[in-house]
Amino acid sequence: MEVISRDGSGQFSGINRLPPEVLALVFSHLTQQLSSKAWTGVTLVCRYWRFAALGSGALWSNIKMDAPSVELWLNRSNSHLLSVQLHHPSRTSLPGLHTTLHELIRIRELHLSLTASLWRAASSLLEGAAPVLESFFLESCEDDSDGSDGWDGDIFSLPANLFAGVAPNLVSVELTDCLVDLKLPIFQRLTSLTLMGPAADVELELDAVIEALRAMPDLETLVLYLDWGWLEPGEGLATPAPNSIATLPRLSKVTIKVDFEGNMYILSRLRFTPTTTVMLKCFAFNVDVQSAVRHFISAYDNARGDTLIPVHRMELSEDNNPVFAHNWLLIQIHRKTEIRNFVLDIRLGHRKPNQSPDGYATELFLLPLARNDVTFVSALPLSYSMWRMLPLLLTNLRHLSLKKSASGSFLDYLNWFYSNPPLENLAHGDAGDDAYLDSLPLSLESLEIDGPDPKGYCLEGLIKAMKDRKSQLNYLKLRFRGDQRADSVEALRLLVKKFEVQFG
Amino acid sequence: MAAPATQQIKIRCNDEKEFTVDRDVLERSVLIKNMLEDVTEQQDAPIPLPNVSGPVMAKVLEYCTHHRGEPLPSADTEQSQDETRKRTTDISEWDQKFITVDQEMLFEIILAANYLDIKSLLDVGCKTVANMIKGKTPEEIRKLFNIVNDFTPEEEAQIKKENEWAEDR
Repeated sequence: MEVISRDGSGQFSGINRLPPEVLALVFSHLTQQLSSKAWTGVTLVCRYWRFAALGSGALWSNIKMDAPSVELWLNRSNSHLLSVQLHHPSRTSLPGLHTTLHELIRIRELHLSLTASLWRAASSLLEGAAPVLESFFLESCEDDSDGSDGWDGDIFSLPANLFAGVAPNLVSVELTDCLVDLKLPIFQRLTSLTLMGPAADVELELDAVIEALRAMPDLETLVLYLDWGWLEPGEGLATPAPNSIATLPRLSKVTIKVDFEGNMYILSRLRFTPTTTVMLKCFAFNVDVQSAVRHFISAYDNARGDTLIPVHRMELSEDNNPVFAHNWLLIQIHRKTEIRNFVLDIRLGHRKPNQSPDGYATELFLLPLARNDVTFVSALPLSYSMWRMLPLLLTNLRHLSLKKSASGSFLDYLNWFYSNPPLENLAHGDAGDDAYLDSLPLSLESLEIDGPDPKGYCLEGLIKAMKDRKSQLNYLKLRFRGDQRADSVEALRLLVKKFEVQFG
Repeated sequence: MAAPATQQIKIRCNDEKEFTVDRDVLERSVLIKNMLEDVTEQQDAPIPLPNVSGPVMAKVLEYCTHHRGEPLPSADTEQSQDETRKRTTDISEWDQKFITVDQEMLFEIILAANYLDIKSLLDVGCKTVANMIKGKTPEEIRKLFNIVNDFTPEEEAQIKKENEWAEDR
């Protein structure tokens, strides 16, 4: 038996008085912070450190199958539970994949990006029991090496006997371009489910998905980025099953890709609490978003007979979608939705180089959805679309807080708005649904404008808005970075019950 | 009405140094907590702690007093240890100041925390050592901690070859 001395040379080293398990704990912090190449350097310091490192299975339990040392790490991990990841599949990944999946019985996290050829070679290994598996990620990805273009319909059909039906700890599943029977009992304890793709002409039964979701009462997070090929709006959705409803009492966040109306259909058949956050994401130009939203609202109305959709918080991404679709979407949702807490966070960093700033301005149509507080966070200076937003702001919101550059834009456009007669133009807008806004009363009760630049902005528009629209504004707080015309400030002071102004 | 007096517990270190400490402070140590729970009647005799010296215990008590009342980490499961490590990657400002000691005292504190089973203190100590190691070559680490390289040149070459396979991400 090899005797490992803490101090092979007879020279004293304080750190080597730490027992091996404590030294391994030190190393475990290094594994969190450094690449494996960097932290494995500790095995080269002295025999005692090597003994401590190799004796701790946990240190070697994070298996990256991209590296050719998979077998070595598996051996060193002893019987420790494994976290397994394959991010960059290649032909050379197969031996490591085989070796690792034979250890399925002790894999806790399994993250696989596979090419079609790897999938064919290894899929049967997923038919073993996975008693400790908690998280399963599977993604079909492009195979650069076989000359295919990667978009030829590589869809993985997961085996019916997935994990031999034994995965009692499975709580998180993310599948991209995979076909799977979600009604399998192993999915019934899920708290997180993400379904993406398949981006091919594969028809799935929406009601089957809803039925499967109904059997997942613990679900907290649901992401539906399903594509289901290129179905036309309404296709395959004509006859929703009347009882096809899934109640998910623990759902805290649902994210839906609205490009494919099937996702909206599923959303419309879900029942969740008023505190659930709903995120709608739109990615493509070439999809009929309007139809998807119409279907969603119609399905929701049919199912519930309600006039309002209880959504606690809604966020809308702007990725690539056309401006007009936003306008339409927002106005339609506005009529059916009450959002109790809406945060619009527009940051310069989100903007893509080729994207028009109007894409952001039109998002502001979402503002009327919020019946309470709205805050702009580091908003961009707003562009021409602002004029369309103003009546919505003034007639729907009770409380509005504007910060930084959004404040200047707001005052500037408000002034422009009331210097021109734009209301009659509303009916000719792209959305064609704006005219009804004209008849609504001014509802703003409190307004906080923080930090507009002193140059150029004036308050006449705000004054006129309050006079003409019989304002109910009873609280106005203005904080300027420079001096304002005293008479304007005084005029405002007379129009509101509580008025605060700060300069400087 | 006056609040009930906190129970005071006596402990004796391996250098005969004795401390009288509030029970809730001492109970940051799972070892002492279990000892106290096993004793049904109040004892006047100090609890002997043969693996800790007075100066080190004084530092440990400083830590326990500062963190008294905070929830103790959950049961000693492999999973909870993993989660704790993932959750806390930084050392708080106070802890950082507290653990700024010479190497000898640092290792003594870690040994004491391990013996007394004070997980959060053990974690602070181990993270501190990890931060000292981070970014250093094996040779630099040896120099820092006064460790002698006891590998043969052949062994060293073999290990270097092994480590070459480790991925660089």
